Amino acid sequence: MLVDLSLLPSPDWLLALPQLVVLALAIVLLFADAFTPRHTHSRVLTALSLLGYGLAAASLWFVDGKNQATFWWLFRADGLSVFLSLVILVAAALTVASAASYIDRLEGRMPIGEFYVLLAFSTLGALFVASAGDLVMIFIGIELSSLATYVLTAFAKRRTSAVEGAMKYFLLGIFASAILVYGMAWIYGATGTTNLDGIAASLQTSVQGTGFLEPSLLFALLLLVVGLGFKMAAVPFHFWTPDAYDGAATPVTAFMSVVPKAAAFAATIRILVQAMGPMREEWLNLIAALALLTMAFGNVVAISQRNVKRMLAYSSIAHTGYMMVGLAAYRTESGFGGSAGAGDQAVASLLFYLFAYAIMNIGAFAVVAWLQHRGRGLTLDDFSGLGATQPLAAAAMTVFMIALMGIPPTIGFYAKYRVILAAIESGPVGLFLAIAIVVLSAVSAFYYLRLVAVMYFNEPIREPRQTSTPLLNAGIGAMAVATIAGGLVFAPQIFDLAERWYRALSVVAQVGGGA
Amino acid sequence: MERWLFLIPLLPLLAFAVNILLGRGVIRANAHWVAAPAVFGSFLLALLVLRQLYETGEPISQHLFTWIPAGDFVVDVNLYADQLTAIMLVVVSSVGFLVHVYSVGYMHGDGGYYRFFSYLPLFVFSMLMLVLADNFLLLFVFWEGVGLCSYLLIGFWFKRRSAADAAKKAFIVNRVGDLGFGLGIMWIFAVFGTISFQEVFSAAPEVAVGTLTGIALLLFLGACGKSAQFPLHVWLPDAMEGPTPVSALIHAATMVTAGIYLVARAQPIFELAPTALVVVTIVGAFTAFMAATIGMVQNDIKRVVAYSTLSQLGYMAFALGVGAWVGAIFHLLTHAFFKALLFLGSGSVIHGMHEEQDIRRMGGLRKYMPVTAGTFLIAALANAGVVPFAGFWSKDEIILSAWVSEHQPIGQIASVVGLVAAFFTGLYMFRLVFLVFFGPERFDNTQVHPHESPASMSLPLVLLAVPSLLIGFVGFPPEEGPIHSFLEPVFAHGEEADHSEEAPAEIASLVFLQEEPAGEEHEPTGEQDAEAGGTAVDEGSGEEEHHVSTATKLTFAIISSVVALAGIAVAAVNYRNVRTAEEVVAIDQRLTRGSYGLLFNKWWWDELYDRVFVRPFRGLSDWLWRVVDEGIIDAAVNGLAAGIGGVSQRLRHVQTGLVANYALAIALGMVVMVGIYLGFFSDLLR
Repeated sequence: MLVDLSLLPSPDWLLALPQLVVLALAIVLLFADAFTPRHTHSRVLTALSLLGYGLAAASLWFVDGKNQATFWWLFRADGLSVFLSLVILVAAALTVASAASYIDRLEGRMPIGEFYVLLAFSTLGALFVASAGDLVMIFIGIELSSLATYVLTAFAKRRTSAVEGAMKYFLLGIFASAILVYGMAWIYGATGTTNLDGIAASLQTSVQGTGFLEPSLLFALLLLVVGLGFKMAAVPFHFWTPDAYDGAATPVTAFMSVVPKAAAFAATIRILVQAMGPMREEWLNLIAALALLTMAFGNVVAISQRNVKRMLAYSSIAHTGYMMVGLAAYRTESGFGGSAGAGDQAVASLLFYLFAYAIMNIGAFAVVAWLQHRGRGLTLDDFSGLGATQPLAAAAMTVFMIALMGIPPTIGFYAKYRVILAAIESGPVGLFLAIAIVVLSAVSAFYYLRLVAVMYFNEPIREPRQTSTPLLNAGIGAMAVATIAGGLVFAPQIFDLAERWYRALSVVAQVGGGA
Repeated sequence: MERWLFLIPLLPLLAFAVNILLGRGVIRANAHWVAAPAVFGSFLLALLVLRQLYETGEPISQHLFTWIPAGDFVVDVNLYADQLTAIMLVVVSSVGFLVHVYSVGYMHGDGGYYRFFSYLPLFVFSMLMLVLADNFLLLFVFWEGVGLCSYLLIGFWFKRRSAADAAKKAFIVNRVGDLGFGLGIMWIFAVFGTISFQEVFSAAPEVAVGTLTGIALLLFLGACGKSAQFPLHVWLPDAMEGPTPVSALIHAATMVTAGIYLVARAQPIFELAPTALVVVTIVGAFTAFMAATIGMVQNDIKRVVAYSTLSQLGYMAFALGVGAWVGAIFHLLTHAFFKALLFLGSGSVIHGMHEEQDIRRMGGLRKYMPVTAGTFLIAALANAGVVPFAGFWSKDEIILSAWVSEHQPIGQIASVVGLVAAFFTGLYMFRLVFLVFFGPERFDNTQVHPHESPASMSLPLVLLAVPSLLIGFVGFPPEEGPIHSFLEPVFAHGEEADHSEEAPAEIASLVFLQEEPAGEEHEPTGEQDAEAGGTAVDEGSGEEEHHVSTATKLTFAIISSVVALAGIAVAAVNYRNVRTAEEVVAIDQRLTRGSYGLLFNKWWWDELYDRVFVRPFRGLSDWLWRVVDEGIIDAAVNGLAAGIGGVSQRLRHVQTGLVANYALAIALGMVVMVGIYLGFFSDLLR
């Protein structure tokens, strides 16, 4: 599919407004870092960051409902990109709220300006993936996001564990990137295009025409799944996760457990669903197998962790597995350009899960950071008697644990419920996965509730250090409230928003018609 | 009122919410200022409902919201007030309010004051919702709600072991009945496809009699639990462990009549299930008789009144069974007032006697507490059924209706049993009155200084004495009073069906011939029974049986009065002048002869249940616990958990920390995936 560029309209910059806002934020932060006076430095940069992500989120309103591709189909502004961008921007803003005082005060005063700039670039990369219309664009976005995240992981550079984790993450990350780009190359070789819609159209023709697929396409698919599996931390490509999560400064861990994962899922949906949707019979069982392996491994190994950050790392692996179930449920025909089909519900359940996961997981890490401010460590014993000494923090942590467990009335329950529903509706394999989710959720209750039990039933071990962290407190409070209010009230509305992702596919029809 | 019906239950609910949230810290001893006005507001609104129904006769309903929309199973939260509901609303809110006022004095200084004034309005709310419900499930929800409040309030002084045990007993015994009720509701939904009263009742005639009988019996099992009918009566006497105002409101006036209300509400079902009605009659009559006999020898003032409650509930039940629907509700109405008064009077006595409850150590109290004595006397006369006190009119009507009803021979047996029980009623009621208020003082008046209760307690007594005296006249003249015409629309449907069904008089007369020798009960009025029966049958053959001649009514009025007065006379002769506690027991034993042990031990029901149910169940539970639960289920769960833990310990060693291993894992994972694909899914190697 060769396109004469001169016939195409000039790019519509407005569609890229959220990305442009975040890019502007990164540049402004670089300058502000250099020119703000020392005593207001941290506050100004924090405020700028929050403002930037807020503006970017608000600018989504301009993009919402447009459903157009621009920059010669490299860039798309559709329902999928809007929802993913929302998740990414919310996660970035919450990270800023949890990170401000941590970066400023703990682990030997890290340079906060650089931190925020790197955060902005990583967020920008993730946003590009969310809006990508082309394999090249996806790869650039992932790399932009990853490179910034590698540096962030090593940000607490005086601690060797941070450097070690970052090093492992980096080495394995470029290994995975190589595999990913190799897979993309095979796709290009087989279909002659890197455009997602072009790939879809080409695959559609082969599937409908002869029913025969090039074996090379299967090989490409496997390479892509390995590369993406690494980015989203699916077993057995997850090994970097515990070491990197444990090594990184806690707010960084919170960030990297959500935003790069969101980017990875964005890339997965773009590639597997949007581009390789016609050959989904080939990848659905593969994703289902990986999902099962991932949630089983994550939940089981989390049980034997006594370090809370490592426990949450394995828990995040398990959640990756739950989300992959949503992807594996993409079995039925989706409503092309029209109403939402059952397959759309499956991907929507994944998207909603990502949103819920962002709030509750960052919340859990934020409480860990909050405790580090007060002189507590990272082991389970450091949570002893928290219910007696710091009842509000303990209550917030309990809310997050219950949400991660998937118990009503939290948003975590609704998310898991939608995934299970989609899985059951997708057929026998989905039903099996749904049962696995339920059983493994019971397993996960062990380590989540153990933390709650330690907080409430053990004696406090030492007096906490008194300190004031207003922004962090506000952030934790907001996340706890959102976790409950989301489950009680807003879940259906948010799910409606997630369900509109299928309009991403309606652009395909236009391209198909034009080509 | 259509738009404001919801306010009736809402007011007490708000009072509950305010007191339970703020009572401990802020409101404390002012909790009654929240609760009592709220219930009074409900009372005023209930009066408005009553007036509107009296004027228009049109039932009021209000749709609030849809609670459960699940396919065919839709449960709306609708409030529905017809004449029956209106009467219940007034009874619940008026007695409820007076009990609130009384409790201000009675519970004064109690540590759980705010708790008490939280549970009490919660109960009133649940009870009001129970009678306002327009479908079986909603009724069941608040049926459980009042059960919960009853549990909380019986065990109000939960530090006392006997109170906690009594609360548990009430709850567990009610489980048996509620199981039946629940099954009944499920069966109703299975048969009718709906649980709304109106829809079920209008469809009932098309359903097989056997099914309706099954449903009716299950519903009645529920009613037995709540209204403490045999064989589920054992919890009510123990429930007297709760504070006395609670006994008055919940265990006399309102909650225990919920079972009666349920049967009356489900009248269209019961009317079509004659076998179920026979069961209701037998159970009711037996309970009325048994409880009255037990009441004769009990020594705890509240327990005597409690057995009296059981007995009067038995009257209501058999009134329902013989088709005297209005009579049952009429008795419910009068009973609510005089029994609440009896309980509150008992409470006043207990209060004045410094927590003494044993009537053997009382006596001559009328000169210390004249208001209590006077009002108690009125209530006792009403309970015994003496003209013209409230209880007379309703009880007389029940006995008369049973005698002339079309459900024979059971009706006349019940009627005779009712008369026998009426004799015992007079006896135990006035044994109580004489032992407490008359005769010599059997307490040490150097230690105990009886005194009249404060105004907040005596005022409700006086206010309750008025309806105890007068409310009977709403049923005057018998069978044709205002209450009969008021309630007629509610029960009209079933009665019409009855009239057209058969010629009851013939059956009645046939039965009567067989029945005649049964008049030999050890009763002085046996011959009059027969005479009266003859009259009734004569009259009944001439016209419809519900329009009984004045002569018959008069005869029955005289018989029941004579019976009641005979009971009172026996009590007066024996208990007027008893000097010591031992003498009380001696007289009890002399009067009851060989049956004293049986009666004093409450017919051994508790012991029987202990042997037949409690101990085998405990054995079974023990076995389930040790063998099934710990041995099999726990072992399996713990084993699984230990297994997962072990696997977890092994797997964590996979995380070696070496980048080379990690990269190897990625590569191996990829190779395995490719291998599986090439081997199983791809055509490349085939």
